[in-house]
Amino acid sequence: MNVRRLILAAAAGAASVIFGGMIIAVLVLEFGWFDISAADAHMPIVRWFVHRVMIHGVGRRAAHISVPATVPAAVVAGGLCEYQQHCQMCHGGPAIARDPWANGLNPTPPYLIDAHSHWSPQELYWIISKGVKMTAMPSWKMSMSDKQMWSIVAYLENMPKIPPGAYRNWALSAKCPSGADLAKVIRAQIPPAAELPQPQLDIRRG
Amino acid sequence: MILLLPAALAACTGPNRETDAKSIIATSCASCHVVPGVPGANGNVGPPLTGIGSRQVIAGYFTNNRPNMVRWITHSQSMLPNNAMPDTNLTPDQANEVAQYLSTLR
Repeated sequence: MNVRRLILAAAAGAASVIFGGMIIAVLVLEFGWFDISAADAHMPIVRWFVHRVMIHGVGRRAAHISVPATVPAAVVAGGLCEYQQHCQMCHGGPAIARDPWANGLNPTPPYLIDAHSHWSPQELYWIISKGVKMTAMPSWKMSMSDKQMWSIVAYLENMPKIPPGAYRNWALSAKCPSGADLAKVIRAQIPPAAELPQPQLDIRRG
Repeated sequence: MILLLPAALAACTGPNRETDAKSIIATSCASCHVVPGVPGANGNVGPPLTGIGSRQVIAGYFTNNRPNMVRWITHSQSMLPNNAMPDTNLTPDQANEVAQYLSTLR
């Protein structure tokens, strides 16, 4: 008797969940219930859902891509220039804001200084090459060579090492650094040990 | 009636102001900063703004008060050239709304 009741209750529960789901589906599909405006943020559950779908979708598809072993500094510098021309308007850069219209994109495009700590080089390449549906990230393989896309990955991998001020100066003057320029500013931010200020503290109390 | 009016106005503007500030933060700050109370503000490029209202120093250099915060939000590059935070394209009014909200994060 109890078992029968339990089965009945479970069946009724399942039926109401399915029925409720169908009602929501009809409201969303036919009655315009879902707010598709880009001016308002996603509901937290939608944000969670689309992020999981993206992260795992990219990871699964990028795993087999092979990464060029090492790249010369000139390639990283080339990637920086590609980034300035094609990526900065939406993603901003160190000390450079994205274009104001890009603030209207939803989901909001991420700043990428820490991208290399979230994505492997394969994944970054995949995202640039294939784009991401429903985010405004285009597939760049239509307009860029493999070489160009890998140079952007090389730049993203090195982005945190380059002082923000150097990037800003190059971006504002629309100047492309050479590999040597890049190596120079990376080295220059670490002063030789002799130049480091020595602590001067008087520990006696007056 | 007249006495009730300010209270009614306060009730109207209070939550709306906060909503405005949150939507500015969601579009202009969220990619780089964790901002409590703003869904999606979970960036890890700049420091988390948890407790910023009671933090004493902005960017490791400037006293944390309202004028400095508004100026930092709009013109961080002229305050501290070449730091990683870009000048946002916010108006002083928008920056003030944001600063007001941040000051409540204690």
